[in-house]
Amino acid sequence: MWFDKFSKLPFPTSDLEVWRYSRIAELDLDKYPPAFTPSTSNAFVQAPLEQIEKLDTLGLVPSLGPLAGLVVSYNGYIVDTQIFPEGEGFDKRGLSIDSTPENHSHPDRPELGLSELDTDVFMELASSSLADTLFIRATSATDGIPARPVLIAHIIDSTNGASSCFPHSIIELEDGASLTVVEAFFSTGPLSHQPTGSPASGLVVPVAEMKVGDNANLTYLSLQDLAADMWGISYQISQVGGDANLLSFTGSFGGYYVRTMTVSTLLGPGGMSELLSVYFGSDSQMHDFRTFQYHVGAHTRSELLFKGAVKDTSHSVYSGLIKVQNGAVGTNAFQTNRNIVLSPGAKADSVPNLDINENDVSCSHASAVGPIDKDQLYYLESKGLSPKSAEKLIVAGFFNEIIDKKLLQPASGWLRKKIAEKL
Amino acid sequence: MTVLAIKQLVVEVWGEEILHGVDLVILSGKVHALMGPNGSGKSTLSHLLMGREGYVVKSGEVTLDGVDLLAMDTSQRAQAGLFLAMQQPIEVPGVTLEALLSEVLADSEVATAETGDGEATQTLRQIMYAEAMKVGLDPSLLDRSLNTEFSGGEYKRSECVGMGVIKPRLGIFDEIDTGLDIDSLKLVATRLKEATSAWGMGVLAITHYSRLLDVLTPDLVYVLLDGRIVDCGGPELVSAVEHSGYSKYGVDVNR
Repeated sequence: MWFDKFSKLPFPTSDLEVWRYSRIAELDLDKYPPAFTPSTSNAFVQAPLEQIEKLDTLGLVPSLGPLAGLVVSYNGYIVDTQIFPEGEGFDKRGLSIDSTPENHSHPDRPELGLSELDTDVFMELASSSLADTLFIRATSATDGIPARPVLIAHIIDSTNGASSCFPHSIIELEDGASLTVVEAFFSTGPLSHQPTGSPASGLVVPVAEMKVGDNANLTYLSLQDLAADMWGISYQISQVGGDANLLSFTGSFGGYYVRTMTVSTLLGPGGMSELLSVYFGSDSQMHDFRTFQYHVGAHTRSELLFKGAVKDTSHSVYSGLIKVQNGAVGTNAFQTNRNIVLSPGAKADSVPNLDINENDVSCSHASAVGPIDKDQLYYLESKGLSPKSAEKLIVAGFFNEIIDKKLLQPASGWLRKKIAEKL
Repeated sequence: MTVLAIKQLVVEVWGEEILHGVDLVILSGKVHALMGPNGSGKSTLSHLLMGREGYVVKSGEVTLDGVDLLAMDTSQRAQAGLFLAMQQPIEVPGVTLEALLSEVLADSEVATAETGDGEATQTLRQIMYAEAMKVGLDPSLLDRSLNTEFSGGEYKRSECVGMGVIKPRLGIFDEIDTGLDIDSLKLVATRLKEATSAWGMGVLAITHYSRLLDVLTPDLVYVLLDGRIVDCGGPELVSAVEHSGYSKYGVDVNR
């Protein structure tokens, strides 16, 4: 087993609560040897933007508008980084993008006592020498700069055979900084709306670590429409300081099995995490979400809203925990997961949980799994919509609660197109 | 002329018989009032005509210009020209009236055929704006999710906006007057009256009160009591019911 060289941690099984319901038992890592550093003659290395344009069939990159910075990674190796020149409404001071580890220290991860994370073999592989680590830093000089996003475009190329790759990004906002980062995954191979056979083309393990300093504002959007036969196991680990705001959004549409583990730790008073996700499974896909809202500091807030749809024989899992540590008085924490089941063969599991060790807190969770509301269908059909059009409109409306949010605006057009395509 | 003919209609809702043999005719260009106490089956009739799930015809027939309406599903009935402004709004989160109407026009084969007065050159947005003004609805409400943040009166008026865009052949308005203040009520009644001449819409106005019918003068008035039509007449029947209630039909409405 090749990964023995990089991690001695045991390979997980679905007996572990955090992997329950998952397809981990089907994943044979030996079928996916680590991707090599690409040669300079590779077309993706020579002209990455042109190659991305070919893979970006729904036009995400153009819809983002002018960028503050661009990073292109190829199978986890960074092949291009740019910070765009200062200009109209953009001041690049305060923004640095680098992939030279010697220049950076890894930010300390707060001690969470979260064994699920500390003993995770994929996290360890992503932190090993298997891939480049990207460092994005912003200082308070970025405050007040209009929200031009930094785009991290990952190309996952399986044309030379199945492989695994481990893109690792560290996003650090100093006190008072503000930044928008869009992390997008493009892959060769069949797209998610096309039927596929068995999973074959690759495994991607993206790890994004975010540190949001006091009074800083980070908007992080992760968008994946991986090939329909790909595995994805991703981690989004954030720590939020006092009076800081994090908005973290995940749009999950592609892949054979794509798992997203979101851990947001609120450290300082006035800190706020808004955790959002939209997912849509079709064919035999599985989208799997594990979330942890960790309230460590007093007077912190987290709001989680994950909404998904499953059709055909697809499957989704949402399992979330709000944990309020002793001392985190005045915590406000909310967790909502709603799912629409569009086909009799599709399935959505929803498992919210609370673990509260402090008295003076306000926490709630809600979850729902069900078919499209018949009264809503009746209302729309009574105005002349065909049943199919009515269903499309209701599902699009269901997701609008999230997509209409102002900070998601850079990705909203792409998200709407993607949902329409899925319907 | 479009004719909706209801003959000897017996209807069960979730296993309980509500209509016991209703006869009713609705004509295009005319205003019909359907009056009756609570629980007499007025809303049942409106949902049955629109094809709501759970409303089962045990016997009788309904035809639209001779074609069996009951064989059609809800959207086919709407596309055939039937329109229902429901008494109770159904919320559709995240969907605006504009999104709905633009899909309706896309789905409809007669989308632009009947816009003879230059409206074809107007955008949907402009038509909706004009329709909102006619019934005194704040156009900023058009951007809200369908029926989710509307007051009762705003919902009724937004239904009128939908009607003005869809231009149905026959419109059923189930207590369109409730929740409206007196000024809005006049605007709505005037709008429905206009529609009967503008594109010959037939109106079935279900109501408890004569106020709506002061402006929207009915050509025919039906009285529905305990699942049966017990009386039928001209506009004079409205004031008769207003004065003496339904007790003269021999049913204790307070039972």
